[in-house]
Amino acid sequence: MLGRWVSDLEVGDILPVVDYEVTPFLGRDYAHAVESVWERFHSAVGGDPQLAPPTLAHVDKLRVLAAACPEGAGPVARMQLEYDAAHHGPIPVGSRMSVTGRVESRQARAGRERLVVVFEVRDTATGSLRTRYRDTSLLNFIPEETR
Amino acid sequence: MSELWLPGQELPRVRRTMTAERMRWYADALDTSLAGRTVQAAPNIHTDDDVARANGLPGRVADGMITTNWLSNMLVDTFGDAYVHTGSLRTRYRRPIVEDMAVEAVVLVRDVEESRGGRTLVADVWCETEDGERCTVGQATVRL
Repeated sequence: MLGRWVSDLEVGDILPVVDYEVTPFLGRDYAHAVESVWERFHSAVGGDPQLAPPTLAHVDKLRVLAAACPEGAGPVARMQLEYDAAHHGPIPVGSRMSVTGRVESRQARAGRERLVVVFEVRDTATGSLRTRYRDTSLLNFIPEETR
Repeated sequence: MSELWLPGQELPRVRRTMTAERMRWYADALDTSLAGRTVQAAPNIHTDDDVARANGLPGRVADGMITTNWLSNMLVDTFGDAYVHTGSLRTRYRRPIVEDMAVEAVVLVRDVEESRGGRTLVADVWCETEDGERCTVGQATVRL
């Protein structure tokens, strides 16, 4: 645990590694929720394995934040401002992934605080990078001076 | 991917209405993914008007990742493994999307860059409301 809330995080904080198995259910359920009809997210096709949607990195972010800051966003709701993910390789279901994050910046702009955290999703067995995800969130939607 | 892509080409647009059910599906999926079993999300700004208003919003708003996923799906459907394995997607949320707002997702090829490593398609991506306001904007790349 790094902080009580995500809003406690500071620049340079390294978020603890979270290791988990990407089960077929995880990939399928997420694909259903976002209305993806690409069959490879739902099952193996021919000799090709079922894959996790690359945007599942957003859940990986939440896994790491939940471990680092178990009481959640903070006094007010956190709101995502930007998703920025680069795919470095597929994530087959049944594999284990290790996810960590590093707080890159925290800045106030127009009364709102922006937190940028870079997450890396790596194959636990090989260490190979699968996704790098740079997340920008607002720690408060309402500007501080108007609350 | 043998198809020739040129600047100005668009993938088939996807038009959807941001229903409360779509917001709920995504909120539940996040908590389900974290729990590893089917669960319902606790009330939050994406599922509960009162919680949203308490945080300065007009009512429940869609999680930005819903429109990001609609754009990502268009790239997956068109480019398949090429996008899933080595693509990228960046989206920024410029304004909240509220319940029953109609949204159109657009992927427009901006360029195809040639390099020694091969060709990379660069696309502008966005989601716009019926009045043409872009609520989600960004860029995607796919190595062809």
